[in-house]
Amino acid sequence: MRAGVALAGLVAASAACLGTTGGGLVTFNAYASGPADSTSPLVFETPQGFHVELRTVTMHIGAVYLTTTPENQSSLNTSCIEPGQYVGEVPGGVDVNLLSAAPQPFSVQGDGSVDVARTGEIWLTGGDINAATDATKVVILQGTAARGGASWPFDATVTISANRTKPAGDPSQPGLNPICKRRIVQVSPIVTPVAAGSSLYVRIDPRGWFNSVDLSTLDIVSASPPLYEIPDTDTSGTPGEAAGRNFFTGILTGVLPSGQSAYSFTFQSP
Amino acid sequence: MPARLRSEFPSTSVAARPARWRWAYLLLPASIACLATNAFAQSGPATATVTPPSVLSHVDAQYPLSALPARKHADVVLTLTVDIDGHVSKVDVAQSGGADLDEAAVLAARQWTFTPAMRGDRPVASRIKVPFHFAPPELAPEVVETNVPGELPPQPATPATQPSGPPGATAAAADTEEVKVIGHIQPRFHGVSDTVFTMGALSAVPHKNAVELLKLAAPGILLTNEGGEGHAEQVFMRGFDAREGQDLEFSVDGVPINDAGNLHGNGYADTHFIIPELVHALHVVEGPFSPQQGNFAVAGSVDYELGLDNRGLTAQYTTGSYGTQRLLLTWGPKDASTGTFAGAEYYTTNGFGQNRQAKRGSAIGQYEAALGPGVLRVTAQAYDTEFNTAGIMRADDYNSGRKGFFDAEDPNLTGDTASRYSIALAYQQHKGDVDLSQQLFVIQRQMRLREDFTGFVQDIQEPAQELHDQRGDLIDLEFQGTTIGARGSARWHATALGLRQELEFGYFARSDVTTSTQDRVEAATLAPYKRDVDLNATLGDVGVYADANLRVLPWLGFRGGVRADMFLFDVQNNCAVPNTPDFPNKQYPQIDASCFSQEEHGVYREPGQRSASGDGAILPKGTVLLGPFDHFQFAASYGTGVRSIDPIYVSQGYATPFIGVQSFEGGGSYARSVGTSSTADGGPAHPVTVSARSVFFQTHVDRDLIFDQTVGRNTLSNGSTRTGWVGAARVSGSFFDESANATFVKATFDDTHLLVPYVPDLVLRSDTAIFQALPWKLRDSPIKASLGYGVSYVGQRPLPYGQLSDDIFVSDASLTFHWKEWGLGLTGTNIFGSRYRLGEYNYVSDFHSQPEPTLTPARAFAAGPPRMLFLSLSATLGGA
Repeated sequence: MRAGVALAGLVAASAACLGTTGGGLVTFNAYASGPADSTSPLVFETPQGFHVELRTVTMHIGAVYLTTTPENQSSLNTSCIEPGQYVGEVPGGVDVNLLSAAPQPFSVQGDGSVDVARTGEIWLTGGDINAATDATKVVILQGTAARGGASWPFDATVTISANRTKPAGDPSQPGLNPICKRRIVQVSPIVTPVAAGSSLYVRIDPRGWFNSVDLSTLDIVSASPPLYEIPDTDTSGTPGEAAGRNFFTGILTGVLPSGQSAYSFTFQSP
Repeated sequence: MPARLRSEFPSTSVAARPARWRWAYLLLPASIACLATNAFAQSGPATATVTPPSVLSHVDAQYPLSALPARKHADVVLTLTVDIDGHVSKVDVAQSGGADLDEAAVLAARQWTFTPAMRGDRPVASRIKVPFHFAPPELAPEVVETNVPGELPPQPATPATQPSGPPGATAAAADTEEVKVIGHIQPRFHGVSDTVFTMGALSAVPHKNAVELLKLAAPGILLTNEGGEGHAEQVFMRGFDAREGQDLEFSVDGVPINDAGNLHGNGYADTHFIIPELVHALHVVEGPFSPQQGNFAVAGSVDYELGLDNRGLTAQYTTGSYGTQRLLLTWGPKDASTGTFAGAEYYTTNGFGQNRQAKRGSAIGQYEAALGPGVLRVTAQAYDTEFNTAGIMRADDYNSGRKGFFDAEDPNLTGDTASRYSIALAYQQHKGDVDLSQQLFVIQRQMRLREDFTGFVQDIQEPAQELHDQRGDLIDLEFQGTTIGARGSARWHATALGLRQELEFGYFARSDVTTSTQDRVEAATLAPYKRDVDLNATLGDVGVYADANLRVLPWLGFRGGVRADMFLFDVQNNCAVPNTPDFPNKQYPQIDASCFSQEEHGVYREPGQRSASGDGAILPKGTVLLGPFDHFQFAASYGTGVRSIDPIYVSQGYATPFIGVQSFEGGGSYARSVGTSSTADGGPAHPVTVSARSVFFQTHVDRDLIFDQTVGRNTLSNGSTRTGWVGAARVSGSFFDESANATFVKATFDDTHLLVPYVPDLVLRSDTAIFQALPWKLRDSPIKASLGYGVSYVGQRPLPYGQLSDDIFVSDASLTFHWKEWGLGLTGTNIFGSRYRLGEYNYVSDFHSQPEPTLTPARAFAAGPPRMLFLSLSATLGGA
């Protein structure tokens, strides 16, 4: 009996060598980190002329997805899940210290199919991407800004909950602005081949978040010692709130002064 | 139980068929009369009601090549013992014509079947004499009326005038009565892949439903089912993923089973209404080589031939693992043919895991009798089932311990139903040199299917929709269809070139009126939130064919002809607006309210849109048969076929409502009787019959069907080609029956040359039955035992994304004891307890089993059943 099974297995193995359905599935380890030149503290100049020193920057990444879609081409596409487009995923989170260049592993392994990713998505969520409320602090940041001899010690805590809800505007299109779209950092175009035997490295440079933030307008929350805060809001009723909205926009868009993305996705051998 | 070898093509050896059959049939009535006289002699009064056995089927003897040099003319007279179930249990040579001719005659005679002789209202074993006259081919004797195997035997048969009965048969011919003999017009066989598989002793091999009989009857069969016990099995055959019948033409005694227009799959064939105990044989044609084959015969066709061999009233109760219970009742009047019967079953099970409960009731009744110059058969059938669906299981959920192997990802897949009601009338008659056949049928089908392959990934947020989360991808599919149809044929025969020539004309017609809907159901509320499909369709299929059986030489013949099929599709799409790509726009997007009237560019329109398409196909089919060597037959076949497309494609603009298939094959078969084997208890000796075949084939289909989990049904893909080899053999003797087969196939897409996913490249199957009277007796009655064992090996199947599935190795066994009218059986399935994956897939699914969505392709599987044990107790009243 065993001989028969072994023979059958041999024949089957031979048969399997006759071809393939094409493509392949891969699993990979995934890591996140700050930029390669990250230091603690991280010191840099913003386009607004601020000299910024970041002492603490952590970001909670809920998940990472890679798609084959070059960019969000459909103006009608308001869904945060586009079936059939995904070639890589890390469906688990990590709280990553962006002041460290050391790879920090995600809580789960990633998987995907052999293909070329054109868009990377960082999901800033603590759970359900569509949840109306989510208390997860996706960014916690502390630092000091200085310009023209003045300085503004500040901190920021970013959540994406009811504070980020955008009204539909057009009553006939109540689904135009789902909250999930505000929780996804979409980076495109990228050219990232998903291949077996490699690991995914997601690098995030917080310097790209401050391009349009006027840190001098922050509201003071403590006089002694002085402490300013980037408001966790999406409104722009006051200059401070505008700074908060611009900061959040900077997180979502993530463009460095050089024009490069603040987010990168690379597969490379560990 | 003798194997029923199919070696009926006369030119497989140098045969003198016309002469032989003239003699045989002239003398067949004599044989029957002989039996009658024998029966009279035994029963005493000449006025007793005695019915001799009547021939149900018979097989040609072949003129052996070894006799050709001597140009032997000889008569061989055999004494056949026909047992109470109509089978030939013993063959004795009463008059020898030489060893080679004796062997040829014995081999043929052992394949004959009869309705048993009746004394009064009780079947009795009987002995008859059957003469065979052998003559070399060029010495065809004078022309007289003949009948060939498969035709209606003479009706009525005339009494014999010269009985040549066995010892003790002394009654006079004058005592005999005119006898009506019931037979059926049998199809001509088209090549070595055209086979009739009689269950016989192999019915002891466990099979829980009719479709599982296919594993015994045809090589290379893999059955999978993730949809529950009321869901049709997915059949893999000859390199085709025939799904639930979309590429395999199913019928039961000629009545089609495939659902035309079924939204789940055009051609969906649910065979669960067939009670396995009522299946006498399966006629399987692998490939599209027979003109009688019609729509869906891409991988081939399967016809279930019903019949009840076990006469009397039989009640069987089965209980076993997972709360499984089955009550079976069959009844076959003793004084009627095996074609007259009734059977009913009730079945219930809790299932071997989550969402695997099922209940069903099925009843089939058939009445068959001589009517006027022919035979009338009326069949009625009813079937209802309610079942749940386990669906698929993500491998990562099982591997991580989040789910059990036999769990269900979506527990809401409950309340599935299916039903089938049908009635059919068939009439056959032999009139002069023409055999006529006519059949009418009406079928009512319904099914509701709830499946969920993807979980929560298909529900896209549209701007015009209220904000929502993924509501769930559960598909709630409803199908109803009414079929009315008919088929008929006329087969004419004549003698030319000293050989019998035949020409058959036939037709097939069916009309289907169907309604299909498919809704998406919200997981939280189980309320439908979107209508994917709403179709009404009227489908027509008319096919006509000509099928010739021409013989140039006794060992060289041609069979085949041409078939023309006309398909008509008239489809009303009740959700045309959102399902038509041209119409959605920013102002009027695809939204949940699928079937509302809309303003389209300022113009009012109803959602309904009608599409019609009709086209025909001319399908040549032919087989060259060559049989110059003793016991061997070679054949080369070419055939084309069609598979109609799903009505939804017609609504989407496909002009030609069918897909074409071309296939050719070449191979050989071998059949003979060798030596003898005696029963252990010293019973009569029987020859060991051997049959084997080897076939190479290639099949090309214009557009393949590949299952798309996102929409829950097959979708059209590119053309594909299958190339492979099939080998099968069967050996049977007085106490055993062994059948084994192997199939190797490579299926590739034409454009990319990549493998077609899911198709098993290697399938091995072995079925064994051992049956014997035990050396002990209980109250002077023997105890008979039968052992059945079936084992399947399925090689690794290619999966999407370059992956391979696990292989499958499963064994089933049964042990049954019979004593008097009682039977006690123990059946085990998957007796080694293999934990195997019956179906495996790679695609995107997300069942919210992890905090974040899983959106890349991942492995999912349908669990194979675990080890299960069943105990059966049966009793037969008024039988033997």
